[in-house]
Amino acid sequence: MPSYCQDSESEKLFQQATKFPKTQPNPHIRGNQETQNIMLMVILALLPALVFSGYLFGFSVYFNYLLAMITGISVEFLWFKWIKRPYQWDYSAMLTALLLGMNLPPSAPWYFPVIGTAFAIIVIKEFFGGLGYNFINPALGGRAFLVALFYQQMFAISWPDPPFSKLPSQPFDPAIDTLSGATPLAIMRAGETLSSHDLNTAFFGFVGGRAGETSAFLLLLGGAFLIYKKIISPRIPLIILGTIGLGAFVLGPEGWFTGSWQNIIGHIISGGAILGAFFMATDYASTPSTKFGENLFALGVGILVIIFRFFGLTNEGVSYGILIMNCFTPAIDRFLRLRVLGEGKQSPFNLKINV
Amino acid sequence: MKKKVTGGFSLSPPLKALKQKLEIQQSQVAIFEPNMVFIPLSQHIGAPAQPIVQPGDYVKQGQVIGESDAFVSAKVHASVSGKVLDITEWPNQNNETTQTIVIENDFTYDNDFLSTPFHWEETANDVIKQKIQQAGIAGKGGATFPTHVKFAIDETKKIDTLVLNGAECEPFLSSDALLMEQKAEQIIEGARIARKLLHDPVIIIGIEDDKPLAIAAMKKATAPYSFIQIEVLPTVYPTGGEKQLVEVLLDREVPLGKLTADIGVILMNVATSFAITEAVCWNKPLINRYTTVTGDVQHPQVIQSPIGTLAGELIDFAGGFQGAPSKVILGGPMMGRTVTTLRVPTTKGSNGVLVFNEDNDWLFTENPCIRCNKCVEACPMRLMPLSIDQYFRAGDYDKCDELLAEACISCGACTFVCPARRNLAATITDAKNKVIALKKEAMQHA
Repeated sequence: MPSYCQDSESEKLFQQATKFPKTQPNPHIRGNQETQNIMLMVILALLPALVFSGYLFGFSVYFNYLLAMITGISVEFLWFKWIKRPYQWDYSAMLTALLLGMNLPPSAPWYFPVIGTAFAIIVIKEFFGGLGYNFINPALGGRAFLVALFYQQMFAISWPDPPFSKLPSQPFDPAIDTLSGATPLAIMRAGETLSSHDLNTAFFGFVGGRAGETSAFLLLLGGAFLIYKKIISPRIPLIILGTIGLGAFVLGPEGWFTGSWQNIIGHIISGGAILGAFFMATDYASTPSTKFGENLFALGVGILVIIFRFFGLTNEGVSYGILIMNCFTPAIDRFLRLRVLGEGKQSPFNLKINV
Repeated sequence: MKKKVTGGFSLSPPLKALKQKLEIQQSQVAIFEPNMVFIPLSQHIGAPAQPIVQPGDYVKQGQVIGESDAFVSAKVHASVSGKVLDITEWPNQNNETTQTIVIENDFTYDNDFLSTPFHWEETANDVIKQKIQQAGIAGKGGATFPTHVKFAIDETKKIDTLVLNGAECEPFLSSDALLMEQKAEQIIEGARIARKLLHDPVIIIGIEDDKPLAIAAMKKATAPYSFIQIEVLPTVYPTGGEKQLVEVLLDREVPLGKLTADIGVILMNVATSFAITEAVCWNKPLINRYTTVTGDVQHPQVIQSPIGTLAGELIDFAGGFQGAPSKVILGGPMMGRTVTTLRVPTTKGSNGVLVFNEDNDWLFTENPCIRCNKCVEACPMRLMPLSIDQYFRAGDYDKCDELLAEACISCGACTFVCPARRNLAATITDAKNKVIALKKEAMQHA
């Protein structure tokens, strides 16, 4: 410091400050969304449907969720120990475990959630690089693995008998399923129209199905919460559900374009469509990076669901629809990117095709 | 027509509350007169000036003390009258040192400014341009591009629109807002002078809707002029970016690697416009500026001070720190730079001094990217920050170039919205610099 001047009081105080580094890159303020609270919000949004599933199918469902969570967290913890990286607590394993649990039949034995979650976390997520690098939805990957192992039990339909009790499940048999075990999808598959009573029970969830997928109402509540919190955008779920609805109209029982409104709604609200559209097809890592890509992805899921439901072996199709479109995600991202502001001429949707 | 910005973000509720807390309610700008000023000879893009005074010389306020032969350079003036104490290497805002002239203020403000305004309406453009160059005006929006260069370059191009930037989109800063409230007429006059130099383009003034007083004052001042139009913009960061403002106001895109002048548009900050009036009408060079001193200081306020006032003295003037200081930023919270010493003087481009204390300064650890695409939605240039970040960290500079990392304007919107707290803006700025350096190297070998 030259002799002709003295430091200001503020400078003297500032030089004593050592708690944080003085130089930091811009920006110096941040938004309030964090990975952890995003995951937590999604779990919160699932909570009503989770609680309701136990009420419908009995306490054993809660036991499966719990087992899935314990497995998910412990295998992830062990994995981080093994690869010698500090464990990061971000609730994502918990979320995967819960989603997997919701996709199991209520009659699933204890080893289903354990095997499914372990596969989802280790093989689908960690083998590919951990959080953010899974190329398909881990919960659905785990479920697909279980379907391959235990096809019959995975497709068994349990019937609700609230509160908190469980009827024995019927083994899966397409013939029986369409005759007596009349889920809304099975009724429609048989070419019949849903009654408003059927629609009502399906909407509120008093129907047979996978543990967490039955109540469209509670899942929509959770979905609306996520949209309100800006964690997911309504585009993906709306496009998927819209496409399914349109498909149900086009492929009506009496020929082209004869779907009744009951069946359109029936297809939208049953068979895991709501759970898949709001909670699984919106998984960040396994969906495209651009809005247009996301829309394309959602359209693909909707079309696949319709194909599987109308022409496939089972009446379902949401989870495989999403899984298959997950596989298209890297390609969509490889070929489509946004046109940078000022780059070349205007293009439709501001897109650029990378070849 | 509702104006829409590509990308960007509005503040989250806690930050909105903070902004409200820091909102500066003042009808008069506070004036601070330091005992000494430290005037850096390099304050902007272009060649640094050479000193043309000696220690011991007496200088008048507004006297030229540094200049350069290079055209892309601006003159440097004494901001107070008094004795030149020293010419020395002094800290600057890039945490380096610059040759700096130290002047002791004698508080007489002896100067040669005009006492009656100069009539520019009938004056030849060359004379006006000469005056602007003489006054050393550099853009006051942040890039500090010498203003006379802007007018000279654009002689060859047909300019149809002059955009006056009053967006001041950096949260917490209100220097431009206060200037618009108080000096609306002078700002408009500056714009009219610029209009004359550019052969009568239309003038559009963009102001964000969180500055109702400034909008009212500017509307009043523009009422007599049919060729001036005021557009109220949504308060979305970074609407005040050059390319963003052109997009929002005119629905035109500035081609990559080109200037706004190439599409017939000149942009000017409202503070630059004010400086033009001062220079042309009163022969007063750019020697004072409004600086917002805010954050964790006792009395956040907008302070008018001569250029060369030390940041520490401005903070002292604002009542000192509130709490234990942690970091001090020159500029706004989004694009401002942290300094390691408060000996850094203000320059022509200093619009704010922002203080964070230990309680409000957070350090974030980076987490893995969850590919939520929030950065893609926030990027005002429509880049893919998540991909550029990933490729840069993997050392794939070709991919960074393919994704046009060079177009990044370093606005920080991606880092702001990132839930994984990744320093996206920092890595993408690095990627951009790397790509530029590699291209330069390739050119030399070619």
